[in-house]
Amino acid sequence: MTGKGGCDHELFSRGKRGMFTRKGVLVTCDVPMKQLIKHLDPGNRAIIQDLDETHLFVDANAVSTIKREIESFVDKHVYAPTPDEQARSGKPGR
Amino acid sequence: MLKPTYRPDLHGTEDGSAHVATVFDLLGTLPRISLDRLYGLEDLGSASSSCTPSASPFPWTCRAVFQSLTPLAKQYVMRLLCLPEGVRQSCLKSWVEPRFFTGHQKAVQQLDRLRILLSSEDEDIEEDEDDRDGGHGRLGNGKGRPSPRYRLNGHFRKNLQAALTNQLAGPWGVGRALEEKAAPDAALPPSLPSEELETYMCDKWNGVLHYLVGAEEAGFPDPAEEVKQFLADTGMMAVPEEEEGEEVEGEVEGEGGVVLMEVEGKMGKEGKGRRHLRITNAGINFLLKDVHLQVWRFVAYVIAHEAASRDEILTFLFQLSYCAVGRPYPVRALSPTQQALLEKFISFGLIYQDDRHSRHFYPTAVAVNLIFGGTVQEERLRRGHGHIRAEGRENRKELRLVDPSQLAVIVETNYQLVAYTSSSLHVEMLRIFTDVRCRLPNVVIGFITRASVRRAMASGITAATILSFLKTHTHVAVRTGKGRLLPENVEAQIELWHQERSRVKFEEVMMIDLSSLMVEEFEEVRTYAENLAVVCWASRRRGGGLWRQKKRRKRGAWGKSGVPRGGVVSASSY
Repeated sequence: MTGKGGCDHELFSRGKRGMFTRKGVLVTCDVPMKQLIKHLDPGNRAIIQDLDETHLFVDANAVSTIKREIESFVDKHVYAPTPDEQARSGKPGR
Repeated sequence: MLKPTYRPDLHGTEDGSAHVATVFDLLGTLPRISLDRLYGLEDLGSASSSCTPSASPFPWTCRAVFQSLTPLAKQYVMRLLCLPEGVRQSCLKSWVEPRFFTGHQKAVQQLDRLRILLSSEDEDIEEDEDDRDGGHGRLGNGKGRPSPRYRLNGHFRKNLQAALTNQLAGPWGVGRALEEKAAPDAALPPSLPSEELETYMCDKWNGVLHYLVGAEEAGFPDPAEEVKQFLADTGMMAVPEEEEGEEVEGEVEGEGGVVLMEVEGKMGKEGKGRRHLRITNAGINFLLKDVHLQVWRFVAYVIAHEAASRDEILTFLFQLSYCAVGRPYPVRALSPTQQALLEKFISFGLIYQDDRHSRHFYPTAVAVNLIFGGTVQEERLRRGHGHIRAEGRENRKELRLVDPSQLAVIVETNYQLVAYTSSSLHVEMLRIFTDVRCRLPNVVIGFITRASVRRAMASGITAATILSFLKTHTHVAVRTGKGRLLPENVEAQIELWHQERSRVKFEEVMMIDLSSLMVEEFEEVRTYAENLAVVCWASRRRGGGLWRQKKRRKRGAWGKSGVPRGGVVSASSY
């Protein structure tokens, strides 16, 4: 959707002074997180522009979905022993 | 009556965002005239008629402010103390080595903010006797002087000198043998043992906290109306939504500010409000704080509420912090406003009075440590070692919100938490961030789990709050040992859980396409925007900029030059 060299002007509205502007949300995260967000949005519908390794420019409407998806993804990959297990084994619950 | 402009920050990142953290931060925000008044502008017509010169409150204020300064700033003040004419700015600058210039700037800024250091540039504005004296010595009175002069605020200088040179016995002149003889009716009642006062304070304050969590427990009477008003106004307690309809009855009586003044009449009705109010996230956060921070929050609330008498309240606070715990102080030395304030402080246990009409009052340790205590506590926690505290009451030197003999926590490396307590208040506090597994008469056993910590964090509690709470209440057996207060892995894990939440940051921004700008133009734009602190992200290759939305209008200045190459600048945080 965006060429490597610059912005796709169709996505931007032209401001008073002839500048192309667009409102959105800047997502700052680590590298794997960014890949996860990209993975969650294969059609690039929410991601307006892929800025660099740790930054994405996304649509404001998608933010809540992204937050929710990240949460559930992270929860899925956490091992939390039941308290009984924890007490018996003496292992930390992560 | 003033409605508080206070809005709790329910999702606040740090608790400090919603209010000023210390009294000195507050001072920095006051208007100049207020500060001058605090430093003794109205020295002669001062608050109370019975004030002898020795009992003037201003030296105490100046001394407290002086103590709060950074070491370099203190140094400046001491050097300028005996120089009414002050020194040239260039001279002041030459006192520090150039490589420590930032320290110098900070010190000067701090002094300027507190209006201790005056620059001769704005001297013409405030002229009074003191300033005139200083003014005569100045060269060339006005234009053509090489460098403006710095000098101390006249009032501050005078009163700090008084504080340092006079043998001031104590605030309100208490302790001066001469005065006691002169006024036999002021014969002081005997001092109270400080342990007794401490128990009194603990009971009072625990009553407040009990009310906050809604724990039903014998022995803790409902707190006074002010307390409830405070908790409701600061958003620490609120009416749950499903009960909103019934709210009217319970709330109305607390609504008018007038009610703040009359306590007695309302004491009978306290049952009502209680049913309706429930603790909020802000309240939970408050619960886990150190007692000094909690008390300061209350005092800050009082100050915000009674803006008209702010100066008198502050003066009173500064004097309190130089009082001795357990010593009686005469009520009549206070101004009427301060006497009204006394009642509020009594309801929070800051001050003890035999009975309401007693001629004397006793400050408790919390009141005395209010101004400096909080900072000391923080520092100690940062250094990572708590105080060794014996079980016996006599050996306790410093006040502890919850009696340590009541709450003693041991955290094990397997995330099991054992808390020795019999109070349901403590259980409520622990329940905030632990999974309580069982409760025995004197022991609570729980686990710190990811879920429980995340739950706490979702309600706005930070890792730092949890850790400092655990450290403050560590069991004596752990304290006396050589090890850490908390197992390293638990401490690190709680912080990791905290970081997990902030792994992805969202910021609402405006993207501006600057791809058609020349490289130099783009850099110029970027520098300009960086100076405005509105750039979130910018890249020349991509040719876009994200700018903070608030400041958008300022773009005009550079926007003329044409169309951009690219970069991203941000908006207010998401």
